[in-house]
Order: sequence, then structure tokens, then C-alpha cells
Amino acid sequence: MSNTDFLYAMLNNIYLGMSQVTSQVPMGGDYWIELSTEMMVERMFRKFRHLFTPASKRPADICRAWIDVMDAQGFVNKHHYRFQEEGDRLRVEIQRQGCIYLEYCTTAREEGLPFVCPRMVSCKWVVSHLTDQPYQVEMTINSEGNSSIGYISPAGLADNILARKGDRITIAGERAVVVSTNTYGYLLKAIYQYAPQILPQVLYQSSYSASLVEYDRVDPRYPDKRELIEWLLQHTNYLGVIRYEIVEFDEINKRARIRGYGSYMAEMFLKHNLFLTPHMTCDSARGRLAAYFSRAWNMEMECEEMECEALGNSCCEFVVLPKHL
Amino acid sequence: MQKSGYFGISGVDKIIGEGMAYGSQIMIRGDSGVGKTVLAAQFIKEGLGCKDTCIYVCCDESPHAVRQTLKQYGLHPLPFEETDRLVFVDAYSLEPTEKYHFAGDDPLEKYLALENRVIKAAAGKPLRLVVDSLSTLLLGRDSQEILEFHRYRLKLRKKEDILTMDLIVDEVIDDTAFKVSSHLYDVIVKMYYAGSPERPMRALHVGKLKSGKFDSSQLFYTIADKIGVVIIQELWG
Repeated sequence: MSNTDFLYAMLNNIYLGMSQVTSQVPMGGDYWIELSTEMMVERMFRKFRHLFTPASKRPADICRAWIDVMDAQGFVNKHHYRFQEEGDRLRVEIQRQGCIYLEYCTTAREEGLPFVCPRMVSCKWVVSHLTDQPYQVEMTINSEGNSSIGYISPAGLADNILARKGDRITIAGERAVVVSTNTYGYLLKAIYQYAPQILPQVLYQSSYSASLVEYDRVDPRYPDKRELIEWLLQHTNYLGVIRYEIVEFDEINKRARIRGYGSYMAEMFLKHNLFLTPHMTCDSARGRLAAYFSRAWNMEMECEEMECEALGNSCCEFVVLPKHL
Repeated sequence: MQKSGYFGISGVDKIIGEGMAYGSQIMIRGDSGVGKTVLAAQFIKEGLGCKDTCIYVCCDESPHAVRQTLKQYGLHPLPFEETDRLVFVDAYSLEPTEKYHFAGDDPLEKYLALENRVIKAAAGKPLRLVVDSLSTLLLGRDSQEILEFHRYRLKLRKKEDILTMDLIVDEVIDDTAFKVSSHLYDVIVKMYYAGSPERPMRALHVGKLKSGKFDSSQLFYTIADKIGVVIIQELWG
């Protein structure tokens, strides 16, 4: 193995390590890899700025100039990149052949780790920096084909669902607070003591309304509805709420079946005795799923919990179906 | 530990205390329109939430109308029907619309045989049975026939550990038959209109006859969308 190959292998494994860490830390996820990549790019950009000479401030010219800088250093091959402006979006096509991040790209996907394409994020950051506008990356990887295709487009309101700026944590652009299940449990217990009957509806409705906001923020980024819902559900997992798994996604008949593992609601209801007898508990999850699918399939959907960890099942199971059926 | 059942209505469940043993029989009586079906829908929702299998016998409305009521109070019945956790018996429609159908003017023995068949199909699972309303089923029948049917049926259901809820519209059944059959139930919930004619309020009280306890507290309630019967005193803490 040459020295360069060794360094590339190390770079890929640094990324894989980051992905592993972000998948394990509370509130981790691909956002943090993207942020780390952007910070690295920023440092590299400062170092090589004197070589950076874009023909204009148009995103395509900015990206070409940045790739020229890296090509001159022998880091990438500029002929592997194609940039084409489509309205306010920039289509980026990158040949997978010879990509130095190929190992990271394929391994992260195989192992189900959070992944962002460093080359795409690198271009996005430079465009955002030069135009002083937030941009975002949408990406499709055709593992059978020779190239990865992505779009760099204005971010609009599509804030990342989970972010931290300074002292503030935000979810879908809204300020978020982290509370222990103990604190939250006592809040629920107080509601339960005063108005036990409304508690399931409160949990369902509040989660439904909040989830609509989350969906709308992320929607413009993912034209594919399944991909969009998977992304949203994965981020719920990062919040430590419940780990979802889509078992059935039938867009034609508008039916979905989703399993949930490690439901905090089930744990909390059991811990704080929030029922007279063991009972399905995951009304928040029902509200969330009903909201996501109502938006995704553009009709009023409902969600029922068919199995629950609070009843001793190994997982919770939810069925999503149209209300009118 | 033996499983206990609840109505799923706070306030009423508090009176029940330790819950009802499976095999208990509940009578819900009251005027037409007072909210008996809503209460039954909550009883079913509570049962499905505990993973019970629920059987709903529709005598006063079609199964379709009852499904709409369940949806209105926050339960989509379809996934539960698809997994045989909720079964409708149509004792309302003239022509069969469901797997299980009973023609209202058939003999009561035939009804009992049908009920037995439905229960047998769900054997081995904690079971709730709602008949909405039993009074319609018994309408126009001889008092002696009613009493014999009633006694025998409730004994069977007790033996089978089925949590049975019979809805009775007041004054539909002959007075003697009603009084005698009332004693067959473990729990009686009476729902009625209270307050002045200008400002009527819904109220209920719960009697626990078999245990010798009777709670005479008058509980005022309202019917809330997506929830159902909500005891007003409970909302005020």
C-alpha cells in the first residue's frame, strides 16, 4: 500500500469513526458529520483561498473553481465532476470511479451508519459561504451506476431537524429543551392526576401538530416520500424517543406498518403507574406517525397501536391507514 | 394476578376501585340519546388497549354506524377487525352485512347460539362483549322467555370469564322482567338527564350490587369529541 493509499484509507476510517460516534451519542446523526465536514472545508478554504478564482458568483462557477483548487493539489480529478444549473438548483454529478471516499460511502450504507457525502458538502459549503445564503444538499446514490447525483439548492426553511447553535438546541428550527424522563414523567403524572382521560388525547394531538411542523420543514429536501419518512423516523431515534422500523410501506393502498423499539412512553407509563391496568401507551408515537403519513400521502391518516412494550411485547407495532376506510 | 377490567372512564373507574373481574356483568341503562353507546365505545376502546378481544352486537344501529362512532371517539376499528380483535354482530340490518348476522325476530335461542359461536371463535383470549342494546333484542317478547334467556345467558358468560356489557333503554322492557333481571348484574350504571328542563345536564351513577356496595354519587358528565364520556368532577380535580 502506498503512502497515499494509506492516508486515504485513514481518511475514510476517520469518517466512519465519526459516523459511528454520531450514531451512538444522544441526538447524534448525519447533521453532525455535515457540520464537521463544513468546518474542515472552511479551514481548507482559508488555507487555499489565494488559489480560488471563480469566474462569477454563480453556484456552478463557484463549485468549478473550488474543484480546480483541489484538482491542482492532486486531491480530486476535476474531470470527474459535472455541474449544471437547473433554475435555482445546481445539479452535481460526481463519478464514483476513483472517489477517495468510496470506502466510507459504501461501508456507512452497508452498516446503516449516518452518512453525508464529503465532496457534495464541500461544494455546498463554498457556495453558501460565497453567496452568503444557506444551501442544502439532496443526494441520490446509484450504487449500480457510475455516478452519484446531487442537488445543491437554497435551504429556505428546511432547517435541519436537530441542531445546536451556542446554548440553544433546536428541533426543526424551534428551540428544544432536554428533560429527563423523570421530569417529563412527573409532568405527565400531574396531568394524569387531574384529568386522566384527556392524557392520551393530549399526547396524540400535541405530537401530531408538532410532527406536521417537522415534516413541512424537511419535506422540500426529499422528493421521495419513503426516504423522507425514513429520515424523520431516524431523527426521532436520535432523540432517544423510540427506534422505528418500517415493516410495510404501501403507497398504493395507503397502508403502513411500523415497529417501535425502546419506547420511552411505555417505560414512563410503567414507571409512573399512569394507568390502572397495563395498557397500550404510545399515543405520542401514534400522533407522530399519523401526521407524517397524512402529509406524505396527502390525506387524513390515522394510526393505531396494535402491540405495545408496556404490555410485555418485544416491540410496539403501529398500523397507519386512511381515516375514511 | 387475575386481570381486572375497567370502563376506560376516569371517575367511573375510581368507583370500581380494584376493577371488574372478567366474568362480571354490567348493565348500562338510560334514556335514548343519553350516551350509552358512547360509553360502550369507550369500554371497547379500553378493552382493545388492553389487548382484549371485543365483540360488539349491534341491535339499534348498523355496524357501519357503530364503526363511525368508534372513529369519532378516537379508535379506528379496521386494523382490530382485520386481526379478529374486534368482531361485529349485525342484529340490526334486515339483510346480512357482516359475517355474523341475527334477524331481530328470530327466537332468542337462535341468538344465544350465535353469541356462543362468536365467543367460541375467540376462545382463550380475554373477552369483552357488548350488546347494544339488549332491550331491543328483547322487545316484544314474553317476560318469562326474557328471564329464562337472561339468567341462562349471563350464567354462561360468567362461567366463561367474559366481561359482558348489556345496554338497556329505559322503559322498553316490561317492569317486572327489568327488576328481576337487574339483580343478575354485578355493576349497574344508570345514565340520565339531570338539572332543569331549561338547562339539562347529563349525569350517571354507578351501583355495585353484587358486592353489596352502592355508590350513590351523582357524576355529571359531558361527551367530548375524540374522548367520549368525561366526568366533569374529574376535570375539576
